[in-house]
Amino acid sequence: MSEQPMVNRQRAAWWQSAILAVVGVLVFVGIVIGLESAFQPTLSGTALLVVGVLLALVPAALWLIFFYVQDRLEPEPKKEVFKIFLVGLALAGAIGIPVTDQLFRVSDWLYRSFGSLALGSIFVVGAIETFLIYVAVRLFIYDTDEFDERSDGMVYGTAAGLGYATALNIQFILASGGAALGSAEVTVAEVALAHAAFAGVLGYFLGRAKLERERILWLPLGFLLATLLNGLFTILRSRLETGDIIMGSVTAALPTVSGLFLAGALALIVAVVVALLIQRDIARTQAQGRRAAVDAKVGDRQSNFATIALFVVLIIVGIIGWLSITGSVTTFEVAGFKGVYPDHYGVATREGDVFRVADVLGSGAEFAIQTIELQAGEGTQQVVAALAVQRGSDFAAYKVLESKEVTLNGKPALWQRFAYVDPMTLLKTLPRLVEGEDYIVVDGNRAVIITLLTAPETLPDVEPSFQQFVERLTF
Amino acid sequence: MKTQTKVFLSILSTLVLMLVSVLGAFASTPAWRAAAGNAVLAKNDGLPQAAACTNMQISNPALWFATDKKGNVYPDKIIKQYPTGTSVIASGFEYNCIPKNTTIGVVYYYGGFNTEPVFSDSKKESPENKSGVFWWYIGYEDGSPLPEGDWQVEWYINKKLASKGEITVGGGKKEDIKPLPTEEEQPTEEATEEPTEEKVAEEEPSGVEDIWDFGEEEKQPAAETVTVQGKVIDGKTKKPIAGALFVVLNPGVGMQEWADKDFAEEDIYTGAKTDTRGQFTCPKELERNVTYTVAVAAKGYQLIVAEDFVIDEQQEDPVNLTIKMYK
Repeated sequence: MSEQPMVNRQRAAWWQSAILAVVGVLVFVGIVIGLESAFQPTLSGTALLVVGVLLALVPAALWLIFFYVQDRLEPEPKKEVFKIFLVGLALAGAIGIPVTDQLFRVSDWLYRSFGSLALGSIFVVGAIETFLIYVAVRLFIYDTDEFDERSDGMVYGTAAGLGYATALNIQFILASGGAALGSAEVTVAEVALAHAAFAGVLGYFLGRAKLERERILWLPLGFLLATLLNGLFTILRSRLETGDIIMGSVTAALPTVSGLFLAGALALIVAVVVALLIQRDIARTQAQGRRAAVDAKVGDRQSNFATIALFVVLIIVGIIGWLSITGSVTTFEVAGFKGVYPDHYGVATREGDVFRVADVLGSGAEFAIQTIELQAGEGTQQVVAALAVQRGSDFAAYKVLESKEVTLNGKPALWQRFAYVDPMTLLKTLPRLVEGEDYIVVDGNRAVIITLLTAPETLPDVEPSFQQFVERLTF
Repeated sequence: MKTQTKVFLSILSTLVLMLVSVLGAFASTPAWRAAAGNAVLAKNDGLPQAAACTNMQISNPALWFATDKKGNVYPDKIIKQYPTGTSVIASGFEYNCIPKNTTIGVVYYYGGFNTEPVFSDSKKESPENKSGVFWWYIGYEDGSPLPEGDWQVEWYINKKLASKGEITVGGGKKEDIKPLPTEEEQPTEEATEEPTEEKVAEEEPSGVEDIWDFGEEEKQPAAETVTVQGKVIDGKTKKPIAGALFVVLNPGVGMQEWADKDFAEEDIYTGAKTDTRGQFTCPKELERNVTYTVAVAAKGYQLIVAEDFVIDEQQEDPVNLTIKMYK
């Protein structure tokens, strides 16, 4: 009974501190927005990036300090906490972000439909982020003697999560070239708070797994909850921030903060609930006359394997879904040409085309099939010349960048990569640079030209689809 | 790739680039449909005739011809103004003959010769020992009306400026604007009376819908359509989004219906892609008080779909939109 007042005091302190931390992060964001609008700093280039990156660290630091202070009974070595933070950051930068952005190319397909959003948020991004946070704690601190309190799981989990969030935020600042500081800080704080919440949930399960004899499925359950929370947060935020079409020019407006408030509320709820659970666990242990801290080697290997297995299952589902979303095709048969094109492309056949499809609501890329009648003795070179004259006449600065002889479905073909400028005449927009590829195949007394047209920055993204379009085309 | 091919391609590319650059930003856009044409004059005393053509002479200032929406040009109907709602304009000139190796270049301007050309092209013309009329019509690919105002043209013969002219589009209806009588229709020729509108209509090819007969469009003044332009930005960072697509579907076509039809281009009323500043302008004007479905898409951002996009009378022309997108 003598411990009860202390538990109550701690519970009250958690409440107050958690609220204080969330309010502190929000106030900091508000200050940044206020300072930016008041002074309108003219930072640019490196200075803007440096300030942006420094500001990206603040919300993570505030939240981490809050959790560190809460671990007051037996504070963790600052060095260890910072180490886990760096491990989370490094794992995100070295593995997490490249895998989600470069391998899965999540941004290409995440928002195609609600199904793709759910699949990408939970089974790809959510699973990968949660697993790497799990790896950071499990491999780098879990089995050490420093991990000896239930709340340590939350401290180290949160540190890893905030490290991951910081990598995401630094990437965001760098990618946006140092976005407007106030607006950027909203995103930075949102990402930090949200990841602190996901990782906090995982940390709680890790803490109990280490210090109490839990069932094998305890840790996988925590992993699943954290993954679901991660994915559901993305889905819920996308429901709150759906985009607007506003009549008129909006020159100044406050940044959208609904996502930030959602993340703040989530972080607060997770912090308080987990803290309460930890206090309850301690009280229960004390009531049962057992020690709060137990053997540091209790954490069992089977539970670890089960967690890894769960991750593998989740990511396999994610891969199957990803391939299904990005690889689904529609078949076509037009004028003796049979083939497939990506499911999300639309038919856009125009005068002079045999067939054309366009990624209308995506990259804007176009795949086209055209034919040219050949005179006796004419070959691919005459087609190349005709295309040069036509494009040189229709557009500005047409030039062939690369050309080579290839084999297409067993037939000799000429491949060329080209670019030109579409002047966007009469429209109040900048001229547009277009890059493309041609496959030119002589087929009897005609030449078949299979063309890709797209913006240079999207060429690497659409090339695989175009290759599939070309290789599966028969005529 | 063979060296010969590379050399051939290099030379060809260089020639094309030289031609394009020398003629001065001669470039058309997919938004335009345009074509050159010519006709031999039955009788032309205005210009000297040459048996073996060596020196090409053309009329200056440039002429403007009656047109119809389908791109038919009536070189015998020279006009001084195009009516409101005109979708195709055609400038041209009379020539005495066309020597060998003659390249004719045309540059159209809108709003003055000192502005950026809106259309330019060139064509190598076959030799011709007879006099005739040469023209080059332009209009939007989608057939929408051309902007009202002053349009200018420059004609180049073998890269040398040879003729220029100006005409006004708009400011009147067909009743106000009649084709000028051509030489055949002058009192001295076989026609003895002033050409009337009815006569003009009779002379035109049957089944051709021309600008002198607007039909239903005449009931809908041009002011009922508005240009839609705007900027697409990241809702959080406020940074412009390049490469975002703004698509307006045909009235009555909803997003689900369009998706069911595999995002067919035929259902798109108009659309535009943002430049690096996030700005876009729709090439085709939208009608007021008509409900459209609008979709805005950008890589990595949530799709925006507005099924009830209406521009009412209170919106100024052009309508400026600010579109905020979120990840």
